[in-house]
Amino acid sequence: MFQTGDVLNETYRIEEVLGAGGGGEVYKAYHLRIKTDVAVKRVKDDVKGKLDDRAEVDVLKNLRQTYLPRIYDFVSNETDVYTVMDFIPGQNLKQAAKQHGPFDQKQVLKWAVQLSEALAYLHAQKPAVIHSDIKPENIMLQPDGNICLIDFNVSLAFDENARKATGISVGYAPPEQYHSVGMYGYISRLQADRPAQGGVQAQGSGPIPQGGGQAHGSAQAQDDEQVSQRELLESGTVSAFTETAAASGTVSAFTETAAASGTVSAFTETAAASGTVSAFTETEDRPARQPKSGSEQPAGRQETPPGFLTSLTQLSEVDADTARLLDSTIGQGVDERSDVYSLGATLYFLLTGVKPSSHYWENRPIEQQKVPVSEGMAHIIDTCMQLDPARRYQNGGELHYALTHIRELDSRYKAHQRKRKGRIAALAAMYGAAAVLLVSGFALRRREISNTYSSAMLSAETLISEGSYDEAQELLSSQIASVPSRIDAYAKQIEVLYRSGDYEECIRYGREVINAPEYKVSTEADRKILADMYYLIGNAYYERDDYENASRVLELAIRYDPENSNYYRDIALCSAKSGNAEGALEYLDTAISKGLAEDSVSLIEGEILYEQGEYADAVEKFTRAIQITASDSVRSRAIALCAAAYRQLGPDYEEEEIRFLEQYRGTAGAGTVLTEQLAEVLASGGRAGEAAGLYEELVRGGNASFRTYENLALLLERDGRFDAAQEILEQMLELFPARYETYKRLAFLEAERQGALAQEERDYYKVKEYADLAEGLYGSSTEDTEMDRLRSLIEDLRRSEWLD
Amino acid sequence: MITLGTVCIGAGAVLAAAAVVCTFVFVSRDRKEQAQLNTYIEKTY
Repeated sequence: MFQTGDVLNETYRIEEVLGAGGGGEVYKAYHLRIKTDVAVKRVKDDVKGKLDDRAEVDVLKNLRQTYLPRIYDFVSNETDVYTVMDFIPGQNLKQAAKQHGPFDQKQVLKWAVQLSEALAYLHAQKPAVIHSDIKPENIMLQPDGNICLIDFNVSLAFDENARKATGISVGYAPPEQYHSVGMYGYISRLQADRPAQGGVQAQGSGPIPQGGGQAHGSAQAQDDEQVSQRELLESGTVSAFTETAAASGTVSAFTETAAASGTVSAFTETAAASGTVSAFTETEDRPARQPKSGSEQPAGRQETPPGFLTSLTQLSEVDADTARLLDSTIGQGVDERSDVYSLGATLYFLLTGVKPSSHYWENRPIEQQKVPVSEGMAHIIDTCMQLDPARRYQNGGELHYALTHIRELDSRYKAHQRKRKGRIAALAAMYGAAAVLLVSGFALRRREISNTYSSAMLSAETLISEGSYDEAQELLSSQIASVPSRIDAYAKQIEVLYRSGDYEECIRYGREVINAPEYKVSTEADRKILADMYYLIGNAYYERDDYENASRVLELAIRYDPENSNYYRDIALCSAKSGNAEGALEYLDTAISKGLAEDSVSLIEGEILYEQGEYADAVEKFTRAIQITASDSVRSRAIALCAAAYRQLGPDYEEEEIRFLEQYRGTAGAGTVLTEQLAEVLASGGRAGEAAGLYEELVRGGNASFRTYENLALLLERDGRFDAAQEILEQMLELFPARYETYKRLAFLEAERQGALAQEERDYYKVKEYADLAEGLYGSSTEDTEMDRLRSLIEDLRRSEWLD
Repeated sequence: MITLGTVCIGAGAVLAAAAVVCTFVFVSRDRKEQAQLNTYIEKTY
């Protein structure tokens, strides 16, 4: 032991003795070199031989943590080893608690976080540094209000396998820290002492009584009880065989102690010397001691002292599960979880003022102490002080996390989190359902619109085929407004305009749509539809005899659908009409190579021949086309063209023409034109009566043109049927009021009529009247020789004094 | 014309609007409760 003024290692001058801990004396010293106060503590003897192991020494000397004292050095002399560390001023928490009483939770929580931080640091070292003696006395309260954890068991740092701490701080040490012998012996001693202490002492809050036991229903050790295993052995209550059993990890120490204490029986000496577990096993077979009787001796175990326990199940006050748990835990040795227990017990004390008991089964949960402790803190302390180490926080890090997240243990916090999660889940479900409904709704809607569109196209097709062009246009316009991106309705609209014969509007609308397209051409089918649009527009140009534009637009159709033979066919037609027979034949060859049908080939060949003036050959081709075709459009076109060719052929083919026209004038679409042509041929062939009959047929059918009426009137006049002719001309006045020709014909008819009368009966004033009306409507742009004849007639009548 | 697609879209829109309203309500309530909880935590811990 040092005296004040002694110098250790020529560096540390001893200033005063601070105390004597379980491991040895503690001195305040002055570091002569760095000129600062240090603490010098004698360490355990078993560290002596281990200072040569630099790795562990360096680990300890390199420990740097805010709430741990720094270790400067390890110093040894002939007899002892000392650690030199920071001197921490202030009082320890036990002293502070004595002055202050139990602390409030906020304060304790602040210290707990700091302690757990220090503990986490120690446990994170490789190997982990186990403090093994956490208690209020070993926690310094510094002047700044922060704590410092001192006095950890250096010896454990040197031997991680020898986790048998040699000191026990009663109440703060976990069950596994006891040697089993020591524990049972200790409890046995307490049980034996219990009646002498006068029973249970009341527990209290407030300052811890000096020197008295801390009780909550049990006979406890002294306040400052730091019991060493040695003391337990020397207590006289430990039998030899149990010494041997407990010494399975430290045989030599035990046998020495047992021998020194003089309590070792012959049997035990043998067993201890052998250091074998079999000695323990032999002993364990003996019947257990019943402590309640107090005075009984088990048969054949004369060396077992009275009141000695071998298992906590022997205590009736301990429930069987707890007893079995403790029996399995006691003597396991310390690890990180032991520190957690000790820290929990320390917090328990700081909050309640009640020191936990080493009669673990008697410790009441902190919630049952009459102190304001929150749920979170109660949960943490209860977890720390679980008898089963597996159910505690497994190291300082876990404890530190729990303390820094203590709010998460609070039931109000949990309820709030649960409510929040529930709300989020509900909202997510609502948004999810809304999204699903919207997405599926729009998908369904798209499909519905597409189906409606397709149905509308079919309906439009039907309306077009029935000739209901206005209805078809209305339907198509609504579909274009509904789905402007699809091309089908635009194409059908152009077709309606073409079929209705409104070629001007067809061209205008087609150009407007193609030049500023709102539709998308994305598929091969769309390209073909676009090609058809160009095709129809090209044909509209063709119908207006604009063959140049027709060819240009049809070329565009070929660009989008180069395999359509009809496009080449119609370009061939346009070329023929333009007088380019060679070009026409080239396109026709291409059309044939693309699979143009024979009827169309004949038709086009006929048209090319017609344009070349080869009317007889053209008639032959058209006739062939008419005979082989199954297409109405090809047939009607061939018939019309054939009739036109016949008209060009002249009187030599008159009979043939008449036969042709009579055969085909009933063809739908061509009937009126062919009937008119037939009537003209008959009239020019001297068959006026037949011609008149045909004209009358047309007039009756309501299909007569002005020319038909006029020809009929002329024929009737020539036939001498003046009244019938007059009637027809008067119909013409109603139907064609702006036509001068009607008045002209009336003037000539009246002149004929008057000429047929006797001279004294003649009156030509009406002739003059009609002539004047004709003159009034007659435009200067037209040249009509008959009007000259009419003027001459009037002049003659004037000269003849028939007129004034 | 009311079709299944329009019904789904309508229902989805209504549900989305309800979700938005609920979001505002929940956020407002959550903030209030969070403030109360913070006061309690502050006081207790």
